[in-house]
Amino acid sequence: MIFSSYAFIFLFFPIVFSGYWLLQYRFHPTAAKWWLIASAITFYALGNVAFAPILCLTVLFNFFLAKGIHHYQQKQNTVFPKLLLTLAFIENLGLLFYFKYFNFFINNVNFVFGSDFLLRQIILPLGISFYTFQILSYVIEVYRGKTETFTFTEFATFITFFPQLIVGPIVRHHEMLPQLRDKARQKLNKTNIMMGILLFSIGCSKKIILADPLIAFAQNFYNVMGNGNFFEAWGAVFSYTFAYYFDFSGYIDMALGLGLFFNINLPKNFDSPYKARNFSDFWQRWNITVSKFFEDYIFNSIFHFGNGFGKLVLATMATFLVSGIWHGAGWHYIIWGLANGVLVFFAYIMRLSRKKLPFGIAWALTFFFVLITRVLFDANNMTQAVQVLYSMFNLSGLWQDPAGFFQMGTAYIQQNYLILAIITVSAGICFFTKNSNEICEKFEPKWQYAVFAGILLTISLFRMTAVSQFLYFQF
Amino acid sequence: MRCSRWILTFFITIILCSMAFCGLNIAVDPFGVFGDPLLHWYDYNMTQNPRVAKIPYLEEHHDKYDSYIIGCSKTGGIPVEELNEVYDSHFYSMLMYGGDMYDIRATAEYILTHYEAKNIIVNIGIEEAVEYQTETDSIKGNLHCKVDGSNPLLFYGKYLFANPAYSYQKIISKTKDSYVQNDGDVFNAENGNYDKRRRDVEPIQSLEDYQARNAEAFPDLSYSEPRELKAKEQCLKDLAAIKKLCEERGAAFTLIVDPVSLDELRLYSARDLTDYWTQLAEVTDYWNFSGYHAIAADHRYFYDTYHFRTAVGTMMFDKITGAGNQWIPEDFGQLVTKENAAEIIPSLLTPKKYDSKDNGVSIPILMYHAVGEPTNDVTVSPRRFEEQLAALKEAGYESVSFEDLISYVKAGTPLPAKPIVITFDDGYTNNYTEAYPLLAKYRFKATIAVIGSSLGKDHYKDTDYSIIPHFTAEQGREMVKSGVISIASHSYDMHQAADYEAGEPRTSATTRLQGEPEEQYIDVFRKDYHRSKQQIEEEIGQPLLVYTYPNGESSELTEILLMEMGNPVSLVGNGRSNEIVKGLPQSLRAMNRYGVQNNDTPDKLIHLLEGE
Repeated sequence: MIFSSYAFIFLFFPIVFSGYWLLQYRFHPTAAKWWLIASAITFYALGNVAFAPILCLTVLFNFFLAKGIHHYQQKQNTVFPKLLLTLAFIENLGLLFYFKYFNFFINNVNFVFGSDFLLRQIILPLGISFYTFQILSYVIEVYRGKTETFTFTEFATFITFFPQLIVGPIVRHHEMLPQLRDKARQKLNKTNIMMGILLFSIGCSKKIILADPLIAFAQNFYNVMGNGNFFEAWGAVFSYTFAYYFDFSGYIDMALGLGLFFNINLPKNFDSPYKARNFSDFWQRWNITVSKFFEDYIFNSIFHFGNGFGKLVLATMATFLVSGIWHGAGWHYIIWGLANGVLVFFAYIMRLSRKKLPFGIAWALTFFFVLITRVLFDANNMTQAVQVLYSMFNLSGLWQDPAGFFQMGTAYIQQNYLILAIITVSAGICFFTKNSNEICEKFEPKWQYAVFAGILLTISLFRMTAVSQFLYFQF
Repeated sequence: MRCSRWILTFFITIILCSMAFCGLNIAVDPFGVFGDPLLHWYDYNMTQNPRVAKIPYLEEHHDKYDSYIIGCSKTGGIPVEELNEVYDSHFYSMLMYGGDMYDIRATAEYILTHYEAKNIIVNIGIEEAVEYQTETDSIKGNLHCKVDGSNPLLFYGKYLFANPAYSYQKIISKTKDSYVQNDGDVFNAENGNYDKRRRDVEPIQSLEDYQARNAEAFPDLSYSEPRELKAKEQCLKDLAAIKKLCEERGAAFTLIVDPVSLDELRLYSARDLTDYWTQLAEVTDYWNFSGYHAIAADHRYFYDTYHFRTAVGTMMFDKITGAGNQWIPEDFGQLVTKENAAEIIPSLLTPKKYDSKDNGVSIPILMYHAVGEPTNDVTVSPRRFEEQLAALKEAGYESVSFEDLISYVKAGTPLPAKPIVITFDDGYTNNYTEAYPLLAKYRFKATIAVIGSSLGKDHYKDTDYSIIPHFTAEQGREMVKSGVISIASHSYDMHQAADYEAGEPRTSATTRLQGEPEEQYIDVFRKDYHRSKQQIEEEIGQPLLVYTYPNGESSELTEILLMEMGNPVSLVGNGRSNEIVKGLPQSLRAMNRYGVQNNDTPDKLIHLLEGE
């Protein structure tokens, strides 16, 4: 089930919301938490019922692993905690590997050794990349002795909380536990409700009004048209660049908004990434919670303050290599990760050498490389990525036949004026307007916000039914 | 602002915005469920969802119809005009793209219980026995609530709250609407059928040529999975129910199994089809046009793998009713009854060998202008003309008239072994004085296309500018009477000379003047054609069959207009031969011609014709 659907908005959410507060006021906070857990499992099962048991068992298994680690640590046992931590790694990363990377691995084994192992039809369980990280982070912190242990109710609520279950943001236990235990959060908060409505409406409209048409346009390029000409390639790359941001951040806005209905402040995950002045800055604004996770558990495990230049390179590249692998099973994701590593490293060098480009130039260069790396990410494979990049920079048509080249450009604009208008509006929003977090930080219950949210949500609701094309063209 | 007020403002905004969108959906009504109050564009609504949009249309217009044909998109190949003629009734086509037997039964029941129906024809392919009620698009693939009995509140609510992009698309399509149909309005609301005019004037030519032009429409299905007749039982049950209801309501029931291309036929096992068609005969007698025959084996009789042409639909009903005298392959269409099923069905499914060349013939057409002292390239000297005629005779060519070509296409009347057509453009006097006697001498026939405004003139119309003299109507009459010459139209006044016209000239029939609205241009073209036709028929005394495009330029629109005005043959230039096809009148449209010049020696001419 996705948030931007009639079933979620008109059925699932009203039931969960009313049930939660009814239980909270009339019964007991624990009952309300179990209601949330049950709702989350239902929400998850509505996506694919087969994966609900995996989620439940993973939660149970890891809870008891963490309990065991804590228990043996208190008894000063050093062997069992290590053993249990290893078990947690094997179980969590093993599942992730199997579901996400098994076929990629087999493909590469077959390629390298000329073997003929069969691929399997494996469907990735929803949200596994996200909840695996949340769980692992918790178990590691328990092992490090840096956290209080949860009750099972709290742990299950923390992991399965439905607004962040599918695509994050990745919530850390220390961000969630105090909120779950805070008595003040067990009462309806009117401001949170209003902000929840506003955030959800903004997120929903980002996805439906902006991202969906842009994704369809860009996917048509990558899946149907292949590498295309100069204009088509740039059009698709711009389209995907904005689409990906609005799709992901729209979903996160909806998640944050939904969290507020239950007085849970989820961490912000985007902070106007396309306003970044370098790639280090970009990764502090894009998918922030995942970046933070990699920084804490990979970068900081390799590099410590005072380490040399070599370690910095190693830590940066290792972090982005893992990030690339995490983002998807394919060589183009790995290359994308490494390319980002190099670009972030440049930013470090600039910082270390205390050099600073004027903002305009720095921003333009950063956005330019965001577009280029986008191709590596969005292409179906490395070959296509190279072809698209070639089309983007192949200006031979301009030298050979300038009139024809401009005619091609004019025709492209005429044929795609609507999508180009959406790209222009998207650029304006990304570059010049406040982001949803900034709006919420200074939120006041003004009527303008209510009207704004109402308009956005209505347009989104009306555009939720897919527009299908006429099927029979052979007239 | 207080929270409750803020939330109230939020909901009021939602309500107001929703009202605006709903208002748009009602006013523009892209599916025709709210009466289409603004645009009244039923063709468009039916294109969006024929199952839904035809119901309110019929509620308003049902008194014009007394018979119905129901089926999936293949039914679009059956022209309603043909049904009206052979059944002497007023048919409405309830064709539904993507329709299956569930849709057909529900629609038949709706028609029979709501309207008086003299005839109900159900047209099915084989696909109806494959899938049943599998449509997933709830906006474009569903039935009207009055047909399937679904909840009216949910039904109208769905269209009321539909994505406004549908309304937007309708408005945009309206701004691009043209006389020629586009992907926004492929239906003809008045008879419920597809508007097939564009495909019905397209050039056909040889099978290879046709396939090359329509490669995407005929994908290679040889690697496709075989299809099972999973919905056979349900299909038989529904047909029995429709038949029973027809009997109860006093409507004549006819079941048609329509023609499928061999590409499609081979997706099914012969045993499955034999069982299915045998069981079908237990339910009702039916006409089976499926199976192996010359039509199924030749892609030119199909718009695409799954859809046969309207020309084939005409053949089907001529075969059923015995009407008309047109060419129909002997093994095309059999009446299957439970008595003869065991004998007929195996014969339908016995593979035979077909050669598409048996369905068509190659026709070269020569294009002359003046015959006289050569002052330009296209004026052929009488001596050269005679040499050319002698060479043609020597090479075994026999000239045929356009009437002969029409007879071949319509009735399959055989043509000589080496047929050729000779034509002259413009109607010069030297055609009468020089060419006509030579043609008579060599026993060749020819067609001369006259420009109406120049007939009998030696000055450009309404001016003192001298032009090459043109023969008179009387001379034309004399030539026609001889049987050597027939007269064609070269337009009345759409072949204007730019130098002699005061305003913007119409140098060809496809010339649309600057800023001229399409409607006005169509009116000019039609009037010009009718004036030319009237002149030829009244002054020369010969029915007009052939339109020769000025400058050899044709367009899809002019072809459609000519077809609608009853013109069976049109000629262009192009320097190529033609293949005309039995049963396909569009193979006589925009026929190519070889332009003959004075420097074409007899050998060169013969090489031109036979070198291909």
